[in-house]
Amino acid sequence: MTDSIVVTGLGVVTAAAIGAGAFWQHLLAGEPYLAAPPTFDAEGFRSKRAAIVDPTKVAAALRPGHPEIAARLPVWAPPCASYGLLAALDALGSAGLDAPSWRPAGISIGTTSGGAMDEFSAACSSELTLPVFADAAPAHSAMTAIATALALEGPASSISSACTSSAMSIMNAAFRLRAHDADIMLAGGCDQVRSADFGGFNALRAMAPDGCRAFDAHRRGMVMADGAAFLVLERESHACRRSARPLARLKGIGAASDAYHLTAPHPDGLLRAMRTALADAGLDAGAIDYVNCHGTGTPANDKAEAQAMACLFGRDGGRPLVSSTKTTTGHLLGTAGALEAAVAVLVLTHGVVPPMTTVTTPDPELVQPLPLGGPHPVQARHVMSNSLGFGGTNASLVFASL
Amino acid sequence: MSSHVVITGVAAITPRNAAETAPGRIEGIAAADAGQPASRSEHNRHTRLSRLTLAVVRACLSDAELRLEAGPDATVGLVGASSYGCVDTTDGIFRTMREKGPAAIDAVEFAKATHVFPLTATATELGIAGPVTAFVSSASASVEALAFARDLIQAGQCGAMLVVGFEEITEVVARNLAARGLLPLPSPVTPRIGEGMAAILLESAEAAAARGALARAELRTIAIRCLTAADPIDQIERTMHRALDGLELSTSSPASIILSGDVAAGVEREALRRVAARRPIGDVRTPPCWLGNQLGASMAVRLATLLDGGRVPSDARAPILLNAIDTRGNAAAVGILTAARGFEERAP
Repeated sequence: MTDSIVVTGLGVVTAAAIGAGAFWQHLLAGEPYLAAPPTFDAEGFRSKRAAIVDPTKVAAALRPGHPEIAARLPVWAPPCASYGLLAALDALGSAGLDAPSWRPAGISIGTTSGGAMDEFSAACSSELTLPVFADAAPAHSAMTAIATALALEGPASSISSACTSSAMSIMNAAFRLRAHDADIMLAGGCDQVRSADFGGFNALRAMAPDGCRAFDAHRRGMVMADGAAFLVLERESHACRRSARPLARLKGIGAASDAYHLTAPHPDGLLRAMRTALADAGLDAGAIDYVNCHGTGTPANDKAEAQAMACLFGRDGGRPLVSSTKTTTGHLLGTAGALEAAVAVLVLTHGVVPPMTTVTTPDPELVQPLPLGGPHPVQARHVMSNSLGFGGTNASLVFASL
Repeated sequence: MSSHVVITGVAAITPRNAAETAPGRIEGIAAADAGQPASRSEHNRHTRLSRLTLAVVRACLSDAELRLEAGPDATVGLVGASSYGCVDTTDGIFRTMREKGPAAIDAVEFAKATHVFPLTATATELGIAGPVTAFVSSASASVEALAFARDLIQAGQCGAMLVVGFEEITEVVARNLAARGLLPLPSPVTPRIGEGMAAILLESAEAAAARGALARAELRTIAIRCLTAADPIDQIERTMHRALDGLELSTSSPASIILSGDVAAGVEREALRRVAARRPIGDVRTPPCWLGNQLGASMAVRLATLLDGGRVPSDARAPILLNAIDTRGNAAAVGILTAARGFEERAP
């Protein structure tokens, strides 16, 4: 019999909240965070506001709280590594793990483009190819920096598949645990939005200047965001041996591609990913009580996603409850999958679905029910978290209550 | 759930045209570049890296005699491995942003600036609708991708997975390698860093047998351990032991070892000495210099080259362990059972 994979810790760093507890309170309040980016000048862009982490706040939380570990973060570490390290420490702490006990763990990180290639590229253009930028440039530099700071000894991986990156990193971590390559895996993601990302999504006309209104008839696009999120995963038998208190069970994982288009999603890919995750979980679609959607707020994403869910769950609107927490958090790109997996676990443990306060006119074409006015109580046993990415990558995770 | 995963197809493209005749090999990168038509439509759909990835995947499918189903084929997936991925496209976006401002950013080019793009472009072109993702780390990237692909097959999520190593050495990559002290290399006998693509088709043994495909090798074991903070010799030793555990070694069937041949040679040799004190170890080799070092794609290129050159009878298999070491990443090892014995006959 296969040993279950359980979640024993959560850690979050967003623009609005540092720590999983503060993050949950922010979600329940449903107050979107929208501000001028603290890391670059966005005045030249069509959309000028986002949910971008202030690195000084992360440094202020990291250094006093964890001085020895923060000191081990290599000097060349890219900024997102600090976000990731702080979220990882939050997750490890909530799992009841200390440095000796987390040392054998592995790490699986998802990132969009990762590293600090923009800094290196700029240095190249001015003939300043400084080693400090050079080491931070590759996409896996955040993984190397965090693994070094935590002195981890298990398998370390960095995955990049656009906005499914950290959902895929959770899948990879689950496989490493199933294969007994490690007893504990840190799985998640970290990203920092650069000005070029801002420019790119502006060029795609995918950004909403006035906030994310996923599944709203008047939705205009996404809100860019960055940060970090980590889950501590372990086999249930291992968690039991060390008397850890699991938060939820990672019941099923599934991935599939659209094989369709560079940017436009097709519902069949997500449908296949969800069906695979359900089969992996040994569940029927009717067992799912809540779905945390990718729900970026772009017309194309929400339509394709709603079509896939209607095909799987039916159109009667009876169940499951469906929402997108990007209306509050913004879109954390490669980190979104891990952040929303954390949301799924928090929904299971608290029995509440956070509200979507920006949605005022649910799109009648998208028939799924949404929690609008305030937090919505739900007695959920099984929840699903979906992620979609450029090029048609899809990942679906199913979590179960304990 | 299948417990056995086999390699039924390989293909590689390197600048050296490693061989011209064997079925799994295709023309070298220079020839592949020259042979690419560049219509406007194709320019929009591809980059140089995605065209090369598509070429090597097509060659691998042909080598394995695997025909994809008409329409989206969800029984096959793609997992990529690279160190630098698509940084050249990303760098182009950065340069445009710096030199011309945000209004000059091309939406299509921006959408290609993800490290998984060569794989999603290939999947779209060929209708591959199974899982698609990319591992971006250093020398162990291809090993991590092999493990993920194997696990997807063993979990029953798809019948076959293509593992694609891809590494493109462009100006910004070369400058980064130089700034990190990796170019020029410290020793003239160290394999030269270069670009290359390789594809390896993994299938469940049952699926391969059902379609009458012959296995080049059985992918038996994979081990990965982080080297960034721990004692590297100890970590490499533990990695090798774990990978050797599943190879059923005996004095009459010792493991052949193919060392990483990279910059950590002294550390790796010491770990091997410790391993050999407890395990039956046969011949020990390093990859030949002519094969080069394709960074994140190197293990894929090595496996594809080692296993190329004809079908292997399934009853004539010997254990081989291949190491991949990066002192700022992982120690990784792949254990296979195969009749392929070495790189010598594949020399250009």
